[in-house]
Amino acid sequence: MTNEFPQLSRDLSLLSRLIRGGFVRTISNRSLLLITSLFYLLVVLMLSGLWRAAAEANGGSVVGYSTTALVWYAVTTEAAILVIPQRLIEMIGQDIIDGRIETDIALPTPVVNLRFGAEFGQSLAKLVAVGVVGFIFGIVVGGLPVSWAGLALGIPSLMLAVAVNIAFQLALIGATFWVRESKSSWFLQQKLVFLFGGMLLPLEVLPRSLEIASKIMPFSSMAYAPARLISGHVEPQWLAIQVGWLAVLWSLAVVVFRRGERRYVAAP
Amino acid sequence: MITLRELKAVLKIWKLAWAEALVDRRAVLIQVLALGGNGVVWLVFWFFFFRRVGVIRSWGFNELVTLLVIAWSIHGVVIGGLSNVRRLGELISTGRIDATLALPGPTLPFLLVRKIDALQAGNFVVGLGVYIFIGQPSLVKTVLVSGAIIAGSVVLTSLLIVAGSLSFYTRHDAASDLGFHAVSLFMAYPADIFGRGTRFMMYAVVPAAFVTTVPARMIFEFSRTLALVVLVSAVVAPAIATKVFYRGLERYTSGAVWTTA
Repeated sequence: MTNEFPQLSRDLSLLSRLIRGGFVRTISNRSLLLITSLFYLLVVLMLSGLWRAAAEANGGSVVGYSTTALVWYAVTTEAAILVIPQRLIEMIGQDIIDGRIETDIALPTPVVNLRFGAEFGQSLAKLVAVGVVGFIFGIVVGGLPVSWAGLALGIPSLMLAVAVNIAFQLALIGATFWVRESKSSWFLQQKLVFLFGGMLLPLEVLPRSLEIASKIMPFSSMAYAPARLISGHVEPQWLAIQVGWLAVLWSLAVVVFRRGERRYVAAP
Repeated sequence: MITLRELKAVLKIWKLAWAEALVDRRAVLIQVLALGGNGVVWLVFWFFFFRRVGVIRSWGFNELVTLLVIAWSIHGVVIGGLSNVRRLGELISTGRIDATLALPGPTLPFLLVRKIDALQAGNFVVGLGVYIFIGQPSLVKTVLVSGAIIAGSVVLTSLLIVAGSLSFYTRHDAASDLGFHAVSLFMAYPADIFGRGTRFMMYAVVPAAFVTTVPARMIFEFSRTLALVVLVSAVVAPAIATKVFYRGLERYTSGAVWTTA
């Protein structure tokens, strides 16, 4: 126990440095931020346009979300998803298949920390860029946020959403140590978040039983939670749920990677 | 203008590209099944969407299915069958079309048919499957859908050629990449549902509405005017794209990279 504390402290310190490194590297890459922001703008334009049309056709609201709330919902879910490298699972999975992961395994810190730190730092930098674009878009197209308290809670929730998503992807990537294939996991994860994570639609649009099931699953912590808050629903319990899922998925990723690394090292 | 002999050569290259792409058939099959899953997710999304909000500006679930059938089939034909059209900007900006320039024929068709993306081509199978199972097929509708897919494929190829040709001027592929994403995104939604600003973008700025929305409307509310619009767009778009590409090609500088493009 006494030996574990300095190790944990070293790991956390390294993790924060990795996050900072990823953030600084990406925030200085202006062309990447510009392209990400422009693509984000296009997607938000479409999704918010769709929901605005739906609200207009239904007397100004859909499942309790006003037109303004729906615009902020779309602004938030797309930010939470688009800042994460789209082919993260495929990229790291390929590193495992090709053996490039060996250099990470040789380092005296968990591979999950290394990969999470770099990806989370980069995603946060993109989140700053699309956050600014999204905020302006939200005000111009939808109007002022429905609730400032919701917005204040939504910002940390947005960061947690990105963290939960990356942790979940890392847990999935770990399976590549056994199945030597990663493309289908990426596809599966993406579609689950699209629908059950509330990326394309507020979960209340789904039938009641599916809505409840979706809210229980971790995918809702990756997009729906911050969007629910920023669209004006002051429900701070979502932050606790996200922290819980982050802990579970992070632990799962660490365990899967540890076992996978052992198998990897043991292989001739 | 391409001669018959050149056309035969282009078709031969395309056939070889297909043979190369289908070497690992099992992997292709698994990936196509995954694409089917993707299709199901979108169908579920639109089903719940229209179930909750009802018909919007004459678009309901059935009309949307028609649009998706066209969109997926076109995606399969163009991004799968003419895979290089998606990478045109990258090939141009990195100076990697030299190998095609050396061929004794028109550069653009040769460049387009040299690579097949079997996974993306699977979208055609998904579109076909959805049409057969829930697209309420009939003889007349099948003829109209086929016409819409052919016309839409021509327009999409043209739009992507124009987007890719931007790289002749910008010398990097960011703009063409963004153009590709914009077209892909816009063609997946019915333009008529949106407000005036977005509709203007989808009809005039990035005219992806002519790839799917207009052909889909031609199917479920057939009129001679709509059929004419579809036909004219399929004639005008490639003429513009060819002109833009060859104008840009005059500015191309080799990267001295010998690849099979």
